[in-house]
Amino acid sequence: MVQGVVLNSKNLQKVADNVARALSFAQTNGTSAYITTAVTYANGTAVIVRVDNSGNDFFVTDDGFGYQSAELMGAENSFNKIAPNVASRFGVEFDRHSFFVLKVNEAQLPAAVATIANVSATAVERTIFAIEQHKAKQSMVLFENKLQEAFGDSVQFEAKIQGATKEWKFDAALTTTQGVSSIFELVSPAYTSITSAHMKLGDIRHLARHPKAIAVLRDYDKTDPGYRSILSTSSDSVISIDRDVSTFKKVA
Amino acid sequence: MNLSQQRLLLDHLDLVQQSSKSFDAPSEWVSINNRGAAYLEFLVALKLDGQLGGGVSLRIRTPQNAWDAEVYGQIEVSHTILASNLRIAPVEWRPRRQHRNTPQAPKILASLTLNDRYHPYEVNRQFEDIDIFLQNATGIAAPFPRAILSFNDYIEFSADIWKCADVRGIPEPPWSKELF
Repeated sequence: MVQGVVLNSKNLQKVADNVARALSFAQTNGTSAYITTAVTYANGTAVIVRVDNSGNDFFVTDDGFGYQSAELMGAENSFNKIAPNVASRFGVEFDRHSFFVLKVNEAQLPAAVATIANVSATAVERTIFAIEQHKAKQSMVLFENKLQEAFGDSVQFEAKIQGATKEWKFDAALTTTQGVSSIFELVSPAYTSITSAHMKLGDIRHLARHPKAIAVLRDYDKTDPGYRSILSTSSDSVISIDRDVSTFKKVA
Repeated sequence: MNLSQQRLLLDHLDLVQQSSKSFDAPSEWVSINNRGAAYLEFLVALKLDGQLGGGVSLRIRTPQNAWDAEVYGQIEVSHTILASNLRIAPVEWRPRRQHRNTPQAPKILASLTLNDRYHPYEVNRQFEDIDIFLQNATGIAAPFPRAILSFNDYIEFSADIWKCADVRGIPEPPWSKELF
C-alpha cells in the first residue's frame, strides 16, 4: 500500500494551484492571446486557442491547429469532410480549416475557449476513427478479392466452424469435397483482434483433425512481433494481406 | 494426446527441422530474474522458409553470472494442445550438468556421458517418440564435432545445426562477472 505524504490544507492548495496553472496558461502577442488549454489532441499535444480582441468583443478560434494535426497524418481531406458536422454539433463555425466563434463578450470567453478547444480535439479524434474504419473496409475488400481470385467458389465468407469447444465465425473458410480444409481470419494489429483470433484459431487446432488455420494480418509490420509470435502458436501460417495470391494458395 | 495428434506433431517437427529458418523480427538479450535465479535469454519467433506460423521460436539461455559457459540453445515448437513446448536440436556449451545417453542409443553414442553436447534431430527422431521432444523421455546427445572455444564458435555451429543463418548475428550475452 502506498502511503502519501500528508499535506496541510494550505500546501495542498498551493500544489493544486500549481497543477491548474501548468494545465492552462496564456501568452499574448499584440492583439492576440494564445491560451494553452488542458484539452489534448490524440497525439498528446495541448490544444491552443487564439483569442483576438476587437473593441468590447472577442474572436475565438483554434487557428487551424486541428486541421494541421490531421494534415500531419495525411488525413486533411477526411478532416475537412468531418469538421463542418462537428462544428454544427458544438454550435460553432468552421471555415478555411479553422473552428471559430465570431463574437463573444468577456464573460462568455471561458465557455467559448473551452468549446473551441473541445471541438478541435473532437474533430481530430473523429478523423482518426474515420481513417481506421476506412482502412478496415479496404482490408476486408482486399482480403475477399484475394481469396476469391485464389479459390473461386470454394471459399465461403463469414463461415461458422465447429471448434473443439464451441462454434466460431471465421472471416473465410475453404471447402473441398471432404469438408473444410482451411480457415482464414483477418487480424488487425489491435490487441483485441489478436486475442480473438488466437482463441478461435487455437480452439480449431485442438480438434484431432483440424483444418489449416491461417491468420492474415492487415498490417504485418505494425503488428507487434510478440503478438505475431503468439498468433504463430495457434496458426499454421501467419501472412500479410499484401502477399500475392500464390501465397494464399500455398498456405491453404 | 492421441496417436493421430502425435503423428501430426512429429510430421510438423520434420517440417521445422528441414526448413530454412529466419528471424521474424529483431531481438535482443533480456535479463530475467525468477525466484532468485538471474539469467539472460534471447528469444525470437522463427519463420520457416520465409513464412511465419506453426509456433516455432529460438530460445538461448545462459546464467547472468556465467562467462563463456553454460549456454543452452534450442528450437522450440509451441502448440495449443500442449502444456509445454517441444524441443528440437538443443545445443549446450559447457553446461553445468552432464548428460547420460541410454543403452538404446546408437552404438557409437550408447551409454556415453557428455558435457559439451548437442542432440542431433535425426538420431532422436528415429524412435518415433514425441516424449523425447517433450523431454519426458531421455534424448540422445552427441559430442560437438569440433572444439567450441567461444560464443562465436557456438553460434557458428548452432546456425548450421538449426539451419538459421540469422543466428550468426546474435551478439555475445551481456554476462556480468562477479568477484568471489
